[in-house]
Order: sequence, then C-alpha cells, then structure tokens
Amino acid sequence: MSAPSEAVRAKTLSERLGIRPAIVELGHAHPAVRRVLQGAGGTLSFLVTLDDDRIEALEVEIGIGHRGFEKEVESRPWQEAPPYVARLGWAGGAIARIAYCLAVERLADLALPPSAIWHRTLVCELARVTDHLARVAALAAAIAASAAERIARSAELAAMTLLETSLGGSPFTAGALPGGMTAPLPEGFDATWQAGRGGLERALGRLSLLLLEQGSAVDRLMAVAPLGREDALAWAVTGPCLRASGVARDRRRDDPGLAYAELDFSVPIGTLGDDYDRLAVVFEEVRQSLWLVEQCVCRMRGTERGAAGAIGVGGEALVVPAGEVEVALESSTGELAFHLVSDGGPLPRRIRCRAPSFFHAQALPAVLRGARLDDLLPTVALFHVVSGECDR
Amino acid sequence: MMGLVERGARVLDSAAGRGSTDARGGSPKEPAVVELDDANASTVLRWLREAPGLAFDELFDLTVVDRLPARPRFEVHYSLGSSATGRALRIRRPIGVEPPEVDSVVPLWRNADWLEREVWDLFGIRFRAHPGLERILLSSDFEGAPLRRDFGRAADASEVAPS
Repeated sequence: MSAPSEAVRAKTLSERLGIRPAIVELGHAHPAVRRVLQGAGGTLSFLVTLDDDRIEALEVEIGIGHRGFEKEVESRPWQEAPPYVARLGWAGGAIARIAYCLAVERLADLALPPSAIWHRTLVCELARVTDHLARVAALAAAIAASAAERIARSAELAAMTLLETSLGGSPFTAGALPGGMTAPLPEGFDATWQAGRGGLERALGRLSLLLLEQGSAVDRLMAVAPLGREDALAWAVTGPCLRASGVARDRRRDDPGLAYAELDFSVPIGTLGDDYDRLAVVFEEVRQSLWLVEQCVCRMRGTERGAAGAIGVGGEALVVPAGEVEVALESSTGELAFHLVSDGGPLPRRIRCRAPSFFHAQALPAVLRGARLDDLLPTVALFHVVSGECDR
Repeated sequence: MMGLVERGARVLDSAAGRGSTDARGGSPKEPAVVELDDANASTVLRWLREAPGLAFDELFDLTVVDRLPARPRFEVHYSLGSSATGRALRIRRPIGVEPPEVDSVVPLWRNADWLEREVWDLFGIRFRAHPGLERILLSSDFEGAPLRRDFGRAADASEVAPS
C-alpha cells in the first residue's frame, strides 16, 4: 500500500471531509475557563480555530481587566506604589512588591537592614510555594483530577496563611516598603512555620503521586504542548516554564539579590518542555522553596528582629535622585522586572513593569498549535498566566 | 562597501563613549547602557542580534520613556540579553521624528510583537512594518495614548506653559 501523496496529507481533516473548520470562543465567563483561571484572576479569552479536535490557530485576548497600573503609580509619590504593585498577582504580588522596593532602593541608594533582607527572602519563597500550589490546583481542575484539586487548594490556603502570618497581613496591606518592611517578622513565626511545614510536605507527596505517577493524569500531560529551548528563549518565556524546556536559568542563582547567595538550593530543569515537565519542575521548585524557607527561619532565629526600617510609614516623602534602573527578580510566574526613571522631581518619570505573564500569554498560540482542544486549559494553567500581570 | 558588522561596530563604538562602558554588554545585574541615533539604530540592532560574538538573541523587554518637555520627547528602550554569552545590554533610542515612529524589531525578535502593540496602544508610537499594529490593552474605540505625560492633564494649571 502506498503512502498518501503530499497533496492529500497536507490538507486538514476538515478540508478532506469538506466541512468548514470550527471556530470556538472560550471567553473568560465560560465556566471551564473561569474555574481553571480563578486563582489567576481569570480574565483571558481564547478564540480557537479547530481542525477536528486539534488547535489550528489560537488567538489570546488580554486587556479585559486593564486598569492603567503604570499610569496610576506614575501619578503618585514613590512610596505610595507598593499596595498597587501587590495587586499584580495574589501571593505573587508579594514578590512584585519586593522587586519594586529593591528598584527604588537602588535608585535612591537606600540601605536595607539585614533583618529585612532575610524577611524578604522568606516572603519570596513562601509566596512562591503558595502561587505554585495555585498553579497545581488550576492544572488539577483543568484535567478534572478532583481529589488532587482539593488537596492543592487546601495546601495553597495553608501556605497563604503562613505567608500572611509572616507579613502581618495580606500582601495587599503588608509587605515591602522602600527601606524595609511594614512590620518585622512576628515573634513566634518559627513555631507557626514548624507546625505548618509538615502538612505542606505531605500534601506535596500526595499531589505528586496523584498527578505525576498515576496513569490517567500522566496521559493528559506527557508530550502535550512541548516547547523547545530555542522557541522558549525566542518568546522570552521565563521561570519554571523556561526551565522545563531545558534552560537552567534562575535569577536567584545567576544574579543573586536578597539573601540567595548565602542559601543552598538546586534549580530543576526539564527536557521536552511538555506539560509533564512543567508540572514536574513546579513540584521540585515547591520542595526547594520549602527548604529555603526553613533556612531563612533558621538564620533569623535568635537574631535581633530590629525595626522594620521602612520609609513612608509615617508619611515622610521619599526623595529619589535623577537616574534610571532596571531590577529583575525571579517571581513565581517568571522574571519580573521594574524599570524606573526619576528626574529628581516629587513624582516618578516612568514606572515600567516587565510582567512575565504578558510574555507567556503571547507565547501560548505557538505552544498550543497542533495540540488538542482538551489540552488548552491544562497548558494555560501550567503557564500560570496571571491576568493582573497581563493587563496591568 | 562596508559590511553590516563593521558599520554597526563603528556606530556602537561612537555611541558607547556617550552612554556607557562596554559595548559588548555588561552583566545581567549591571547591564551596559548605550544610546543610539535614531538613523543608525535599526542597523545596529540587527548587528547586535546577528553578529556571532554578540548574539543578543533575547529581547527581555521593550518600553518607552516620555521626556516631555525635553526634545526629542520619546525614547524607546530595548533590554537585550544573550543566551550564548550571558551578557545584558540596554539600548536607549530617542525618536527624532514627529509624529513619533520607528522601525519594528519583530523581524529580529518575534516577541516584540505584543510589546510594540502595547507601546502603540499606550504611547501612540507607530512601528513601521509591524505585522498587526492594533491596540492590545485598551478597547479599539479608546481615544488617546494614556501613558503620555500630557494625557488627561489639560485641566492641570501647572502643566500650562506661561504666555
């Protein structure tokens, strides 16, 4: 039997059957989309052109929740931005807040007390654990793994509670301010952490059994939506999804700010860059982050907690000399950077946020071309496209 | 005829004296900053992308700073990285024409697509030969470019020039 000629094979199934390709709109109000994206703010829409159940073309619509973030923070004194910055994400917003403050501090040449450096490092890692667990919960929801979803959601909640305890409030109201933190790490956080850590580790063990080792879940992830190393770099994908594609790049190790140079951790990488690799990298990163939090807690044990050190708490104005700076941090979503320009005046000249989710949303059509419609939401969940970051 | 690489090297060498230190790029933490003339920028950007020893294959970010009331008013900022050498470089490109427009860098870095759309949307700067320059964050019927410094400030007396 001879193989079908090129001309026949080149045709899509729809063309061969003489039917028009189906165009499906998965809006942000669609129950399936909303359920998967609820941890990420949930305002993405997709226009999918299908050949049978394969994705021929994909348009990703962002901007539905655009709120003029950069304009808003450029219109206020430097020290008033942090609560807005925190709204770039949920738990990940705590990391964005730290990135912004590091940038302001570098521009204004503000010193940071050592206790605040350790506190911020701890907050970054707890926020990463929380946000990564939200990503796992969204993935579990997308592949209808309801037991895993339940475990991931309650673990996410437990991690968020630890994060809020360490901050003394939600990331919207508490966290980094230029020069320090709104409040020092509370007395007794050590005991709270020791009580909560075991539960998170157990949840992680159960989740990796359910999602990385159980056949029905593995079938939904293995070889789905692979992204090669070259393409990942060309789309400026960063964070766990870049590492899943085999690029060993992590700002915490390559460009260590905060206390990372003094900490021990490893950077997991994948090979194929498929959904399975993305999930496996996320799991390992949660494990590494729990170990990092443990190290921070140990280093802060018995040391002088000191004053929070922040400027602006008492309403004093922050003077930022003319200049510009770009500071990037390894956030839970990827590499998040602030580019600040000051002309020495009372208000900022420019505050630019380089938000990784924006780049990831742009890469989705290339990642998903040829995948099945069923694979769309799991892949979107694993890229953890946070609409607060996309829409700014 | 001078090759692309030589031409680019000459422009960048003269530019490096003005802006910053090492034209081959600094570390990710302390990237070298280079200011380019609008007229030469497209050539130099292509050279930075393609010359083997440089290979700035990553466009980490692209944005604009509005220097109102200074002239030239707008600067495009390119944040480049090289996966081969690990170096980082920031390019500042003041736009010499009014209304402001520059060549698109989508042919060099495909992820510039949405970044340039965002700049068009919020700053009203046109990118020549962009594959689909449409608004991305604002709705298509929105009027104006809100990240411009003078947007929405007409009623602000401090912004009105004394006559």
